[in-house]
This record gives sequence, structure tokens and C-alpha cells, in this order.
Amino acid sequence: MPRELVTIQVGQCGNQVGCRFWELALREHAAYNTKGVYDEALSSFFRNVDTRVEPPRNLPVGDGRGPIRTLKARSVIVDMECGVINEMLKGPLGEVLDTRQLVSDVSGAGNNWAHGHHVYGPQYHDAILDKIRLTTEDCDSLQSFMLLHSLGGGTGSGVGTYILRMLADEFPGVFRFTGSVFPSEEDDVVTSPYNALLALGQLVEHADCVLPIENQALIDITNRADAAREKAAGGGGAPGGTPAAPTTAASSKPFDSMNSVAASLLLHMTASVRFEGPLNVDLNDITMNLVPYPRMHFLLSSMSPLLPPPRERDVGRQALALQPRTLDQVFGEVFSRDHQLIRADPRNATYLACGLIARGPTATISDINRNVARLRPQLRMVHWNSEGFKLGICSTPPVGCPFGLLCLANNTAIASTFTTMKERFDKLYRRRFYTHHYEQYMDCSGFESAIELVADLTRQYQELDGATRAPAITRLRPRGLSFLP
Amino acid sequence: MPVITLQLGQCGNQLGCSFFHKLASELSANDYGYAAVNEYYRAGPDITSGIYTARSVLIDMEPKVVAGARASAAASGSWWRYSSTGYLVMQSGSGNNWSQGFHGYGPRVHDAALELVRREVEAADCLTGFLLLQSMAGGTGAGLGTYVAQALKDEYHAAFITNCCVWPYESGEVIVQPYNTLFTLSHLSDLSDGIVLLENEALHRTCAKLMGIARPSFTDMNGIAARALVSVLLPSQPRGPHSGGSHAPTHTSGGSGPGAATGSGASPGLQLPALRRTPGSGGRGVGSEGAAAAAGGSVLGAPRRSSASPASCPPPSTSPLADLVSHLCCHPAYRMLTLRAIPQLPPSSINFTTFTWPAILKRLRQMLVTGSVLEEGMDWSVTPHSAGSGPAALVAGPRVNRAVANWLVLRGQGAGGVDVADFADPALTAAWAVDPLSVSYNSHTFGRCQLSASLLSNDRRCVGPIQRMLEHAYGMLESRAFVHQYETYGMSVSDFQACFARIEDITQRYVRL
Repeated sequence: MPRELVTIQVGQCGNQVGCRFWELALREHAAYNTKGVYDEALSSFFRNVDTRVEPPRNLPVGDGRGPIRTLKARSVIVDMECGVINEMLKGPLGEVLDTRQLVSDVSGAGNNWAHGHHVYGPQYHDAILDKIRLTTEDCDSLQSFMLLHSLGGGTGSGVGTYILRMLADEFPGVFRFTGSVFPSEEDDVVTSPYNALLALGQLVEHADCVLPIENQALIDITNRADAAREKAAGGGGAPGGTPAAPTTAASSKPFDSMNSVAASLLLHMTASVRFEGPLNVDLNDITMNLVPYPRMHFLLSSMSPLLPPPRERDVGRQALALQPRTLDQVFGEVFSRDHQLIRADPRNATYLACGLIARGPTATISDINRNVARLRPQLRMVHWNSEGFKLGICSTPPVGCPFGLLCLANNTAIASTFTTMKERFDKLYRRRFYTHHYEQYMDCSGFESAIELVADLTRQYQELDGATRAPAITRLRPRGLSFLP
Repeated sequence: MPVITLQLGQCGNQLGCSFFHKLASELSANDYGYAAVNEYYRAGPDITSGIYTARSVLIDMEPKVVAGARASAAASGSWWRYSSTGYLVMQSGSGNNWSQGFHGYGPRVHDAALELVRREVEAADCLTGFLLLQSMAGGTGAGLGTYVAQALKDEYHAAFITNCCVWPYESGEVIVQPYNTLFTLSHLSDLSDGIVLLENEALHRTCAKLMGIARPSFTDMNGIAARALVSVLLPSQPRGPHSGGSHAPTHTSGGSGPGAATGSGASPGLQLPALRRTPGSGGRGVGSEGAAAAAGGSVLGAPRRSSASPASCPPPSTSPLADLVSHLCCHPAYRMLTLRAIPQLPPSSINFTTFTWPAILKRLRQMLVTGSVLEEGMDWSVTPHSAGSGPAALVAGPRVNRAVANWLVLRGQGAGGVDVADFADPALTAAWAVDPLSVSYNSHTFGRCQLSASLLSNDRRCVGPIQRMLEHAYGMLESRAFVHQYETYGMSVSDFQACFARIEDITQRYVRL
């Protein structure tokens, strides 16, 4: 019996990341599900629908050997303007995405968090809740929701956080993970600092676990990968006879590789839920081990390999040789600054908790332990968790690589991200620029409460930064031998 | 006398699978008698097919591992399977949360789990007790496992409960493992009749150093643990510690001295109580010598049945689990058992090794004296009379090991007669020990090694790891880290403190042995 995840993609960015996610998920399952059977791994993301009957009937997993009829993604798609969604539905994913799960409007939220949260949210409350309920009823045992959105715009951040609150009320027992794209500094939306901070306040309160992804970090990663690829292709192009392929051949849209990185994160995180391994890690294991205090649920993620490997015909053998060669190399990369999905250096800050999920048939517990022992002296761990790592091993590697590694860390470096966001917010808020747009839909206490929540959290993180020395502990007296000195 | 095994959580299921595989291969290789097979397997649903069903209940809160275990048992070539209905799985896992396993899932699966156990109990003609295999660091094995142990204790108060608990790597597998392990330990110390602690760290080093496996995986470590467990749980006959199998250091050390329980007990402390059934004439091993072990491999025939020639009538097998628990864990405050099984050799070296009893016994004794579970790297300068052995040693992990009781199992040719009086040294055990040494033997070879010996001791080796885990747990509790996750299921800080106090209790008692 499967454990399902329902993805809720909100807003333009959320839908584009979601789109890419479904493509990569299909690719991964196609690679491992060679017999075309609807097994438990597939059922965590997809429904098997028999479209020959009317109304279309969901086929259960059964013994995991039934044939695949039509796969439909377990997702709810929300957007307040229909451009992105229409394009998605026209493309090859149109069959996988169910138009029954779609909520859209025409005019968009105008990059205004308050418009999204206080107007569209309540307006579409019933419609969205209905679609979500339909999706959850199709699930045998729902494990978690995954919300994909950005914080800088209006729909993703406003409606997205409204949905988050709704999920917290209506489905309290189901985990709420969010993949939140934080705006970069050169964001083309002027009011993105407001949107981001207001949304962040909601995330602090209502999400179980937030995976921040910074656009700027993704841009840097893809630029580095392109540069490396060009260098390799340029060097090896002549003798091999393989023409140096243009770097955008594999992806026709500019944001595709960035979205791939974000989507890969979700695939790695759920790998152990879907596939077998010697040491399984569930999503509730992640929330249990990596969230020491209720509100400190922001996890820095990094992984290797970052991008799904290009196909050889696109880039040539030389570039393919840039993929990491050994598992040890992968460990080193994952703790480096270049592989983080936000622009922070975790090594300069304190780790509160760290989880490592290794993928691949050759990864054993001794490999992980060896590498952790090698790298731990370079990391600053908080005093009450000086030894601890949460480890997981999944036998199925990522597509195209022999092994992969995901690192999810609860690290105080996030405080610097929050501080930067607050600074950008302050630049505008000091003079109350653009606040009249927001005050149309909400009163200024909304700003104040968000500011307070974020400041509180930042302070909590900053207090733990550098807390690497343990205070004196009073041990308890054994009860049975209290007469002894 | 059947024993029902419960495999709880991912670790418990993986270990249980290895355990039954190893047991099956040993039972195929040598003839231990029908009762030995009957203890852990019952004749399958289809009697004519020769397939046996393991007396086991598999419980996990997520479905993949149980499915894998059952599939591996059903792999072609083995004569045993898991029961087709004897398993319980749920969907969402326990999240490494002890309180979710204990307070959350426990009551929910109470009835279903007990129903499965009841079916196994009814299929057994008489029940000896339960063997629970679990890890201590996770959520299901630790939390739900403890709940199930409690439920079994309530339901079957006459049957004993033995736990085989896996202690996690000290370098960390799970971040909240200090909490989970200590909760499990404090509850089990009240419920269980004996807790065998298998340390992941020790198993890992055994694999790496002694077995020559460069990168040990969990499968390798489970194999070592299973081998050690099976080496004590296979049948064996009691005997005295002195040469010839006698209880008194007499001069007549003919090899035909009966190892019967009705020995002329010179030293009352070594008198074996009448719990044991007296073996038939000839306390020696089974007449079928040359029981050369079959090459293990994946194709296992049916368990050996003796050809019923009267001269080679196998002696009635004892139920090792019941006996060892009652001998070793006689005091309610001392229930922690350490398992040492030697020789620990890579399979490729076995044919090139010369086995002698003095070498094996000397190493095993020194392992006991230093508290090590590895066969090498011991400090040979330590003796039972060294400093740091008495009650005054209050440091964490005293240097010299002392036991409440020891059980020595010898397997191989001449096991019935070899002199093990060294193990009866009073300095090895506490002064008040009631039954410091029990010895038993079986002439069958074990695991392709000509001679092998295993020692199960109720000793203070566990103190070191427990103290270190307790330090971490104090640190975490002081900062109230992760406490809210446990509070969701109804635990509070006072529960943590009560648990830590109980653990201090246990360790202090062992330290002051």
C-alpha cells in the first residue's frame, strides 16, 4: 500500500518548477520501471487511471504488477493567470496533468501579496479546497503535501501561503513541506521584498518544513555548469569530431536548468520513500530529526549531482567526465558553498542538525560514516548535537549517475538570508514606498506581525550560532541508590 | 519448546531475516534433532512439501522492509518461509520518534499485533517465550517494540521475553538516538527477562578488521550478529567446567565422564540446577561424527533428520533460550547481556586456520576480562585481579570487566571434555553471584569452523556505551532540543528525567559490581 505525496503548485514560478518536476519524475520512474507496471513507487506521485470507462476510474496498486494505463499526477495546480498553465497543458505534460485539478483565473495577482492572500485566497477558498480534497480522497494514505511556489510574486506567495494556512486547518495530521523560491537581489519585481517577508511570516507559522531555494544560487550553479561544459566541449570538440553543442540545446527555455535543480531536490528527498534501501528515511523522519525547535524548520539543501546529467549526444564525452567520480568526492562537494541552493556558507555558521541521504547500490553505511568522520572536524556543530547526523541510504541511484547525495541541514546561516531580506524590506518600508497597494487589502498590522515573526526567528538562530560549547550539566541521582554518596 | 520471534522495525526485520537464514543453514548442515528445528520453525501449511514456516511475526510501520524480508525468504533453494499472514505493516513510518511508536502506534496496533502472536502461539504446542529483535535508535523498533514487549508481558506473563537490541553507531545514525535508546532501555529493563545488546560499532569493526570486508554494509553486520546469536541458541548439552565434563576438578578425566546434571557436585556454586532434562546415556555428542559442514551456499536441503539407528540417537535438545535467561538474569536489576562468539574469521581463511581449544579459550577469556567483543586488539596485561576491577571503580567504562554470570557454549570435536576451569575463576564474577558459570557443548561443528566457542555474559561492558549516550542525552535535554516532537504524543520533560534516573540506576549497579 503506497504512501502518497500531493504536490500543490502555485503561481508562475511554482508551476514552472512543478512542470519540470513532473518531467524528471517520469524520467526517473521510466528508467527503473522497465516492465511498465504500476508499482508502489509510481503510486506515490501518480494515479493509474482507466480512461476507457466514463467517469475515469482509478486503478489501485494491488500487488504492484498491474499494467500502467494512464498516469495522472497527484497534483493541484493553482494560478491566477492562465498563460503558464495553458502552455504546460499544451505540451507533453498535458496528459499527465489533470485539468480537473486546476484552479485558475485570468487577471493575475499583480505581484501583490495582499491581493493574493486576502482577496484571491478567500475568493477561491472553496474551489481550491475542493480540488485538494478530491486529490486526497484518491490517496490510500497521504503522507505529505508539497507546496511549490515563489515568495517574490503575488500568487505564489499570497495564494500559496493562504493555501498553507488552509492545509494546516483542514489536514492537521499531514506534513506540509514547501519548496519556496526566495527572490534574488536583481529581482525584476519591485515589491518582492514586501511579498517575501510577508510570505515568510506565514511560512514560519504554518509550514512543517521549508526548503528555501534562492534564485541567485540557482543562477550561479547553472552558469558554472555551463561554463564548465563549454570549456570541456571546446577542448574536446576538435579531435572527437563531435561538434561543440550549444549549451542551450538540451533546454530550450532559459529557466529550465534552474527549475531542474529545484525539481531534483524533491526527487532526492522522496527517493527513500519510493524506493528500497538498507536505511530508509521517511519524510516524517526528516521533520523529526532536523527540526529541534518548532519554528526552526528551515533546511538548507545541497546535493550532488546538481543537475540531471546531460545526455552524451548533447555535450560529448569530455563534459560527461565532469560528473563526480567517487562517492567521497560527492561528500566533499555537498558541504561546499557552491552546491548550496541558497547563497549562504554553512561552514561558517553552526549546524544544528544535518541529514544525509545517499543514493546508489554501492553506497554502504561504512562509506557514509567514513566521510562524515572525515568532514566533521571542519564543521561547527551545536553543542547538544556535536556528533549527530541523520543518515539514510537508498539503493536506487539518480538517473544517469551511479550515486547521488542529498544534504539537508538546519544551519544558522539561514539567519543571514533572513537579515538580507529584512534589509531589502526596510529600504522600502522605511519610506512606506508602495505600501498603499497593500493597504487596500490588509491593514498595516499585517506588516508588523510578519516583521516580528521573522525577527524572532532570526534571533533564535543567531543565539544558537556559535553555541558550540556545552554548559555544565547537573546529572540526576539514581533513584535506587540514593543512600550512596 | 518453541520460541516465537518478533521482528520489529527495519533493523529488526533485516536482522531477523539473517538470523533465520543462518539458523536454517546450520540446521541443514548438521543434525540437531527435530526439537531444534521445531523451536524456531514449524512444519509449513503444506506438510507434504517439506517447507517449514518460521515462527515469526514481522511488524513494521512502513511496508518496504517486510516485503523485502518475505521475498528473500521465499527465494528458491531455502526450505523455510515466513508465514503468509504473519505480518503487520502500516504506511507512514514512526519518524524516528519513540513516543510516536510507543504512544501513537502502540495502542493502534495492539489488537492486531497480539492477534498475530496468538496465532503463532496456538500453532506451537507449548510456548517457551519470545525473542524480540529490534533496534534502539529508531521509532518503530524502539518505541513500538517496547510497547509490544509490554503487551506481551501483560498477555503472557508466564512466558519469558528476551530482547536482542541493536545499539546504534556512536558517531550517529539518527540525531535523536540518545533519547530513543535511553527510553527503550529504561522501559525494557523492567519488562524484559534479558537484553542482549549488539553494538553496531563493534559489528562494524569485526567486519572491517577481522572479516576483511573493507566497506561493511548492514547485510554483512547482520550476518555477523546472526551468526553470534545462532551459536548460542542452537542446542547444546550442559556439562561441568572441568576436563572431561565433570563439575569437580577430579583426577579421573576420562573423556567418557558423563556431563549429566546429576554430577557429584563438589563445589555447590557450580551445581547445575535440575531445570535441565538429563540427557540420555552418553553425554557426548551425536554419534554421527564427521559431521562435516555442508558448504553453505544458497541451495539448502531440508533440515537433517537422523537416520533412526539406535546407536546414534540424538540426545534431547534443551531449550537454550529459556535456560540461559533463567541462569544469567537471576537478579531483576541486572539484565544486560553481552554476546561474544569466536572465531571471527573471513570465510576464505577458514581452510587455512588451525583450530585448537587452548587458543580459542584463552582469547575468549581475555575478551571477557577486558570487556572487548573483538577478538583482537585486546590488552593482554589486564587480569581479573588488576586494579580498577573492584567496586571502587566508578569511572565510566571500568577497565576490567566483571560479570554477574557467564554462559559458555563450546562447539566442535572434543567440546565435551576440554577443560574450561579458567572461566570459573571467582575473580571474574561478582562475589554474590549465585550461578557464575554454566557450560554447555555440542560436538557438531558450527559455521564451517572446526572449533568455536561463544560466551553470553551478564557483564558491565554495556556501561561504557550507555554512559556516553547519557551524556549526549543530558546535553540535548538541557537545551530542550527536539523535546517538542515527543511532547506531541503526550510525553513531558519529567518523563525524560525519570528515564535518565533509571538509566543512572542501571549503570551504577553495574559499575559497582
